[in-house]
Amino acid sequence: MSTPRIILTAGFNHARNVLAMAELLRRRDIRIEGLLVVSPYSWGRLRRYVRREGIGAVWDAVPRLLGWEDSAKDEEAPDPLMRLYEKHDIERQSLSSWANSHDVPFQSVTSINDKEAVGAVGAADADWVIYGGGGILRESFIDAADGRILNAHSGPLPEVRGMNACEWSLLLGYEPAVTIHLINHGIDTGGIISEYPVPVCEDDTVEHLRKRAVAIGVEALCQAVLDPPKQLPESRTDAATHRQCFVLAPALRELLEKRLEQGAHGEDVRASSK
Amino acid sequence: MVPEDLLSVSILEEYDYSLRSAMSWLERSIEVCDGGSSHSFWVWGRWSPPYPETTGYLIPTLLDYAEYTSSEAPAQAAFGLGEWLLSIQAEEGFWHGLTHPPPKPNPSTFNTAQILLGLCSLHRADPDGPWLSAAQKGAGWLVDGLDSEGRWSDGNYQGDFNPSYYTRVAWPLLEVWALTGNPAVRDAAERVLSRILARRRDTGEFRGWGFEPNASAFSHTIAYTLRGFLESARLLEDWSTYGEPAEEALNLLYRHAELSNGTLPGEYGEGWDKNTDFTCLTGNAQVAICLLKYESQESDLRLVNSACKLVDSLMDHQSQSHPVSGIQGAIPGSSPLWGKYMRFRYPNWAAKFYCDALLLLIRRLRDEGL
Repeated sequence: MSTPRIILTAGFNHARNVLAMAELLRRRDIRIEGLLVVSPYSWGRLRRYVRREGIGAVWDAVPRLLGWEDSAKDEEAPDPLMRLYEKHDIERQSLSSWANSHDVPFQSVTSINDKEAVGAVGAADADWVIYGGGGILRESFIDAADGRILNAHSGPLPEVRGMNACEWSLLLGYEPAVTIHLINHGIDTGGIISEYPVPVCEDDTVEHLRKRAVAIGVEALCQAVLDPPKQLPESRTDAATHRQCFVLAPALRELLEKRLEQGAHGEDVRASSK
Repeated sequence: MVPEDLLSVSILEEYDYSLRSAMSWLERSIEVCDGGSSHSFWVWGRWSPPYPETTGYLIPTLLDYAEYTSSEAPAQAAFGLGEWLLSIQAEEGFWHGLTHPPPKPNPSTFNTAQILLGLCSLHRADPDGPWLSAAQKGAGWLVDGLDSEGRWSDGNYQGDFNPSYYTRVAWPLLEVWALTGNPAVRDAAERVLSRILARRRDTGEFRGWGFEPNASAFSHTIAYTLRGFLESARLLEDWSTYGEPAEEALNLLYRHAELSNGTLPGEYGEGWDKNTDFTCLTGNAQVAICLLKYESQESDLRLVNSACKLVDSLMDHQSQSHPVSGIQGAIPGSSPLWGKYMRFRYPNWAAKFYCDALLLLIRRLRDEGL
């Protein structure tokens, strides 16, 4: 079998999950045909982000966007993604710098659905596009990838689809999980490839649980490329019957934090329907 | 520097402060009148005369708030409003539309029905009072005016146009039926509901749910329509007939509330065509209530989340420290203030529905352990 060829997308140049995936796959001789990185510095994107997350979230995102996040600031709960970096001895750097070192084509685009991005995906004819962020994919991008876009969704599918899936899993009483699935034209309605449980630990915060899900998603996506399904799974026709999740309102976030503090999240958990 | 205790205010405390502020405004809307609650406060500093319709449905809010705060004063205010409404009830059982005193006689179907909601809640709090008998009289007038097709030819806001938000006439009739067991009242309510159910489109909309036929509808009257169905389904214990037809619209409003971060389009044309030039804050509060009522059927915190976003956005439009007492704690009809619905006004029903939404939301979040 020939070496799989992939394209990775990222929402910004310092996306640590994408850097980890790129490096882990490179070490396994996977050919990375390109890195498509969306520039976060566009008014349209900023406006959509503020509308969805609130102005406070922009301020919180600045260190992450600039790669200034300090994993040592919370020593009691080390960042699971940084543990992955340590485990595999991955050097922290920007995606552009990594691409330059490994002679991988790097493309910065203003929108993931730009003609340039869509054209790059169509021209590369890669085996997989791995979605590591960059915004909602439009029809043209999905069609250019011929339905072979892999995503790590931080919740059990089809039950918990949409935003803040990790948090919603807990609030809705499902066991937190990362689901590797194909992106199709719906919201998290594509065929499901695999599911990995996300353990909930004592003293977990919402933020920490999210980071654990991201770290699990990195390894799970690599696994999906290394050991791909023999046939592409069918889209879930029942997915749309599950109400889409959106960003948590402050009250629901406070409720979840309280439940995590009290260790009350695990009562009466439901397994997903798979 | 911001005091530390202000930074640590929980969301429930924020909701509680906001609720108290809006209720204080409603109390002022009563104090400025010789009876009833003022229709609205104009932005240029004038309280309007009392409005019997909304005075009627303000009563359950006051009683609910009395229970929430374990205080007597809101309940006393509610009984005071009830006495005033009885004093202006027509001999035939109806109430006039518009503010009081009415500029000309105009017996009103919709307004009469809204007052029944207040009288029924007063009866539940004080079964020995005159409330139920007045409510029965009002319901009798409504039933007598209804034809076999479930239509009123008189007493409508626009000629013989019977809007779909008359589900909110069926609901008060069913409240009277639940207290009296009078089958004629239930039968009348079911006739109204059946006629409106026949207006349902495949898109989940109901034809004629605005103030005028074949015109766009404010989220205010859309929520009136949906609430009428939800409450009728509860009282008739029949979700499949009266609740399910409203589900598609409720789910769409859920999505819109989320995607707009709690700021729904002010009105919708056919095919859910959005008018985002303004948001109808009154309607947003009502939609929050509908989503919470729907959630009591669905048990899905996602619906609570969208109600939170609507309420949070409303809270942003409330000034709790405004120097003008007619604005402090009030909720404008629209945002921007010159938006199409209740332009430049702070209507008493915007504050009333906002308080109802907060009371429901606070209880629901407490039930979840917050």
